[in-house]
Amino acid sequence: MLRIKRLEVRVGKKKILQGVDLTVKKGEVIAIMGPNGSGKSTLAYVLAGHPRYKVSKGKVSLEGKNLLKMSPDKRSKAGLFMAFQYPVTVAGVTLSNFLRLAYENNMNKKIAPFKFREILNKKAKRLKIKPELTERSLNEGFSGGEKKKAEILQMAILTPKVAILDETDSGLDIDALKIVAKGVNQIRKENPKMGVVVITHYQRVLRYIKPDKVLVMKKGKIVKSGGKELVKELEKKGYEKI
Amino acid sequence: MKKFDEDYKYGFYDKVRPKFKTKKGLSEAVVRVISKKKGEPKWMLDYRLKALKVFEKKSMPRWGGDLSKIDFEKLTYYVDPTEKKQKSWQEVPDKIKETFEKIGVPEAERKFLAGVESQYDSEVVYGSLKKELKSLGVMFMSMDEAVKKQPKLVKKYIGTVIPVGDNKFAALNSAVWSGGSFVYVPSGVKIDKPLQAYFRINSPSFGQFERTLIIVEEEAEVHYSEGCSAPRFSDESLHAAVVEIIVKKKARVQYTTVQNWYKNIYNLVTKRAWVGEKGEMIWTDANLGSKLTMKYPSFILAGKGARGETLSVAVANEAQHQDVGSKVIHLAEDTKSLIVSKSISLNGGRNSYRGLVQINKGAAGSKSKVICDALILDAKSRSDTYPTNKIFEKKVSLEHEATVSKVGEEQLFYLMSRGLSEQEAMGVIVNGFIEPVVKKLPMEYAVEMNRLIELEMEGSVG
Amino acid sequence: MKWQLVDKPGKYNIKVKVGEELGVVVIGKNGETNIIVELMGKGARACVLGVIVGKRKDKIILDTKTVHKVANTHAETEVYGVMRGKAIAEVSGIIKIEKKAQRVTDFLTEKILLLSDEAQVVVEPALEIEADEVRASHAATVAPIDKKQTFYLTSRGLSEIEAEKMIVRGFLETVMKKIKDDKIRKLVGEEIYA
Repeated sequence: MLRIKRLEVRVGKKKILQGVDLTVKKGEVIAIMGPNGSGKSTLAYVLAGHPRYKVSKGKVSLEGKNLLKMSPDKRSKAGLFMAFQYPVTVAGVTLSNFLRLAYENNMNKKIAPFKFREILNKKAKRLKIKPELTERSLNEGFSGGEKKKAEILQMAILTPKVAILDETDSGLDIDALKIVAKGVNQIRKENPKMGVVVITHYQRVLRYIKPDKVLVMKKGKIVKSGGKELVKELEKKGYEKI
Repeated sequence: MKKFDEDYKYGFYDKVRPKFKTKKGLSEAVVRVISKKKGEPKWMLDYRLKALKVFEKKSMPRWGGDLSKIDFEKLTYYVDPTEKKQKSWQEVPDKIKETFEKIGVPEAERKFLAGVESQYDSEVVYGSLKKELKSLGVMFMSMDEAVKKQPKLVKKYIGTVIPVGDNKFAALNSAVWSGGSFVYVPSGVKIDKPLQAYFRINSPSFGQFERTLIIVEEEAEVHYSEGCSAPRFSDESLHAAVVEIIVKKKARVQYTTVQNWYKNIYNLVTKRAWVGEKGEMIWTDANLGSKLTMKYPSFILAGKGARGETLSVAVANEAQHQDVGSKVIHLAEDTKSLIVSKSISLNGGRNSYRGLVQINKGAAGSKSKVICDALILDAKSRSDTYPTNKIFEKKVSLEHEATVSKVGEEQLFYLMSRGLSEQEAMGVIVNGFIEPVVKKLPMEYAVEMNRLIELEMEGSVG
Repeated sequence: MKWQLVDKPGKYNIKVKVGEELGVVVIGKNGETNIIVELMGKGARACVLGVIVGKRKDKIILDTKTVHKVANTHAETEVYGVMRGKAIAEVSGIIKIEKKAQRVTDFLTEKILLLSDEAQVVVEPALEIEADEVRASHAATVAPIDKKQTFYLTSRGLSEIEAEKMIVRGFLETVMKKIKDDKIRKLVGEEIYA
């Protein structure tokens, strides 16, 4: 469903991604692991369409549509969702108001504010997100855990075709991690065709969101791929030895 | 051939009515005619004449916006309100009609706002409010009426907060003022609904030289609001209003102005409040229109524990200059001031924040905080900040911060990655930027304002 | 970074060229000191550090102006002042970013500690910005010594005078430690701690 072919990405003169090939099938969970600087997050940003990264070679398509030609909002409407590692704050904009607008754009239909709030509150409750948080300025004053949960809440509302979780587990304590993973799995249950790419440093989150395939990235390239056993191998040997 | 001068141009669409207006230019004779037409008592005529002399002597301000094109001789200083020329709906510029549509101005209000009708037919809404106010002892009438019906009160307070010699335009207003509101709230009375300027019955709103006087007695409360975010057209290109407010001990007053004058108007306003012991004054100010606005809502924090707050939003679009800010003088102990100014410059517009915070000797324990944030949306636009802080007392705290930036690339990207178009994302971010001020506006203004910002963004996203 | 010391009142016009990094240290003295720093070429960087110690009947005027004429320039100005006796200070500063000066950053900070009842200060930080891809801000604070700090130090055995001296020194150190030229820093220290 999501096909990445020979993707090369530069920032200025530096080549950050050296030709990445990746396919995500419907309903598949792919884990991408790797040390700092391996290019994992760059890959996520490039997929979402961040203006600072220049794609010098390669193709990315989502259900046959050329993603690289689309602006970030069109990619969202095409079914891509990225849960950011460091979600920005947007002052004066409530999560609820902004998300309703995003929902209307993605679903291509209008929804009454009170109706939307009902749906939002239900999903927020499942993620153990305090209801007041949705009426606060987007990400302003949110703790690390609350920010990550808010990203997953957005995912639950927008029901994407492919979700990319960029180090969603970083900075979370074990309880928050379990809630976030449960939330993701719940969304998968309700949308079985959704593909998920879990980008992570540590194997902890993969105990709760079980991957079908594991890829290891180093210096801008995928150097190894395998199944769940690869996780245990990394745990024992570390990234250096792989 | 029919004489096609101003008097007949509009009359073609409407009944021809006899009109009265003074000759162009300002002179003692013009002032006398104005006073006579209004049937004013002698003391008011004397006040006007004294002001005229001051106006003639005073020089133009050497700072602020470009006032060089104002020709005092070419302006008309008085048009009889009941015979004001009636515009036809056809003549209202299309862009104004479109904006009304887009921001959802109710049909009934559109003609009034466009200057097609000179009076808002507000009896239905206003009738019951009028009764309620009367029973509370609240006085709410046009300034013209107040001069005749409440001469003692007017004489006592007029010119006490803004003296005739304060600046050239205050002097001008004092000489030729017409219209404006007079509000008197007796001790302990708290009016819970905002008093709207256009609820004043039997006199047209939005005159050129409105004079407003609001007196709020001890422990009373009122919120007065005027204007609206829908664009407003006026034939008179110079507007110089004066607003004086007296906030007595423990009283609380909020004054909201939302201005969106069409791009031909010079909007020069002098607004000031005198605040007594533990009194509180809040100016909420939105400047969206006009060619040039020079307006610095001020406070004199005269009584111990007095508080003043100015929350302002200014949008400067193409060919507009908003030169706005606030002035506060701390005279007494434990006084507090807060000024929050948010401005947006786009399409070559220019925003200038001009402020003064002065803490006099003896005003120990005073605190002042000023926050100025400016957004510049493109390389053509401009933003300036000119604050002055004068501290003459040791035991005080003053904080001033100002930042200028463009909309954050990361924020735009984040919102767009959720499916908002670039324009929608800009609208959301800009509305979020001004939210601290907008949330203090009465609901209807807030909604209109947000929609107006979204409209303005349409023009800014390439 | 090259460093320069201004310790006499007067008008100083300083041009910073392409790729040049310049630090200007100003001691605010009785009289009027005007400093204009113009960033003329790409990569120019300027750091203006001002110190004012007002006492007795001093009348100190310190006016700084940083002007960005081209893109990719950076400046920052910090003026710290301590006022005693009947001293009066006027501290004004303006950051001016012209139309072509994109991708510019500039920050202006003016902080004044009022130590006596008769001291007075006027602080006027200003901005004139005509480019959009910039980050510019200014901040000004005026306050007496924080009583909490005095209390803390005296509770550790220092007299009030010693505590005040230490706090003032700490306040001025914030800007002093940014002077990366040892010779100049020593000179300034001698003047202000005299």
